[in-house]
Amino acid sequence: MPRLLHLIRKQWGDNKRMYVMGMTITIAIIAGIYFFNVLAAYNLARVFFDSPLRPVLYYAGLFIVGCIFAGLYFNDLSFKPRAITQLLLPASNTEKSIVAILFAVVLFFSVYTALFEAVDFAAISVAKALPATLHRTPLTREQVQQLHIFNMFDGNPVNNVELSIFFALQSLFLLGSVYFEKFGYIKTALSLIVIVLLFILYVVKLADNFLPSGGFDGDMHYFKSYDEHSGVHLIPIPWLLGWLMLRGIYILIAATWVTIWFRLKEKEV
Amino acid sequence: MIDIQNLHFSYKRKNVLSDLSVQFQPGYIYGLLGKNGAGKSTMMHNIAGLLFPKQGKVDVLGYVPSKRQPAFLQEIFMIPEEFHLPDITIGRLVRDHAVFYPKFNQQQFERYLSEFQVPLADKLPQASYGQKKKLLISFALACNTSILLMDEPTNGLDIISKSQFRKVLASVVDENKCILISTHQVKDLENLIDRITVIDNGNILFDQSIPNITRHLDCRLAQDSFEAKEALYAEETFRGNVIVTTNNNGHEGKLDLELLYKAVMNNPARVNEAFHRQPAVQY
Repeated sequence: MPRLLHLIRKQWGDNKRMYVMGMTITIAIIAGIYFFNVLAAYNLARVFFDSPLRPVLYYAGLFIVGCIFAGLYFNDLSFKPRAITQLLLPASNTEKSIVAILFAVVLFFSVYTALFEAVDFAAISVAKALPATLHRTPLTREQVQQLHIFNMFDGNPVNNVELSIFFALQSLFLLGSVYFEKFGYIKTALSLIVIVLLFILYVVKLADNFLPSGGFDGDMHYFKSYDEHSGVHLIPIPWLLGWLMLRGIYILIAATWVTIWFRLKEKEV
Repeated sequence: MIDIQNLHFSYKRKNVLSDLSVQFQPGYIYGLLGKNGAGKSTMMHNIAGLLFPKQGKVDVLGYVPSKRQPAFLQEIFMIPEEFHLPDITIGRLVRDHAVFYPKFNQQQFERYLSEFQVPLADKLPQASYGQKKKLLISFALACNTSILLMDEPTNGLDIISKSQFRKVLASVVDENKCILISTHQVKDLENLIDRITVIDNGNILFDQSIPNITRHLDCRLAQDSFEAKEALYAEETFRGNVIVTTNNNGHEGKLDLELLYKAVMNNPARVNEAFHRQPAVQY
């Protein structure tokens, strides 16, 4: 069996209790919210199913729990005895980085999404199966039957944007867990808050002074300038800059993963 | 096997190792002795690739340890003073961890566990500190790595276990293995090590093989106060003065590791000078 598979098996074997417990608690909370709306307070079901509350719940869980999972992945490296075991394990830094990204990013996202969809499906099935007499206002029997399962892969561009932000954020938390010596999760969270605030300050204060009033169009290849006298002007953006702005988040994710590799390589204990 | 040349290492501003050069050969058990903070563990961490030299060169089996290549890591095992074992069963530990060490031998592992009286069925979370340490030592030995680094391995072991430890370790060393044991409990290494290396303030104070030591030095009770005065080191006990002196008797001297260590720490230059003289008899 290739060493990478051994490493995956070891990672699962050493941490499965924590992973299973963490995911169970997360999904139990989500299921509790769902079934509270469906059963205990059925008249809230319409609000719950017809409004964006399900996506909000999905993304809230994904972001909060996902960042905790990633932020704690290399927590062992903060404790000398554990760090020695990890660093001296006969596997390459590339393999260790791949397993970290696999568990903290790929598997977490896949398992969380699958379980969320399962809860969603179960809640809707229960709603549809409830006796008609229980269907109080304002959701009619017909409306219940028309409920559809939440699908975050429905092609909605908002989902794509939110998912890329999630993967970027989660990768940064993963980097924080290997970058900082102690309290990686808290330090990463604080660092990101500072960076986001500085970015907002930059956009609001500095960019406002340099750019004409207006905004970027969807594909980032033009800047739409609004002027009271001459109306809308399309200012072309240099191709490379437009490309970078569009794909910046993917570049950030890739750069973060490479940095994780470097940081792991230079880790001393 | 391990070649350290002009190694300098410091933690921020605190200099720990300065211009340290030493070689460790296969087929021997080395005892690294020194005070707390002398640099023993730091040297071991440099050998394992857990710390990177600020200056100088560390070569282990032809590898640069700081690169931590898998082929190098397969040949080195370190038992740190404070260790970690995951909360899993022994069976799971072997199944998931032993696969990374190509020379791991299950029969040997079971034999060492049996010698240490650790039941194979034990669950790690329920085991005591001593049991866990014996398990880790058994696992490390069964991995059959070329280099075994042990930092205070007898800490936390009871008297019987220490004796078992010496017995087991003596049985595993062969011409391909190099075992480094760092400790300040020198008594625990008696009749076990082949060479003594004393480190202090990041430098090698003393580095001699046991046969060479017993050829040149003798640790015994002084016959009179004059002999105690002239000795390399003397210590009063209720039996009289115990001394470390040059071996002029023409036979193999007695070795008391603790006494020798004190002698080296007390006056390293004088002890080392004794090795430049011709012994009375060549063995």
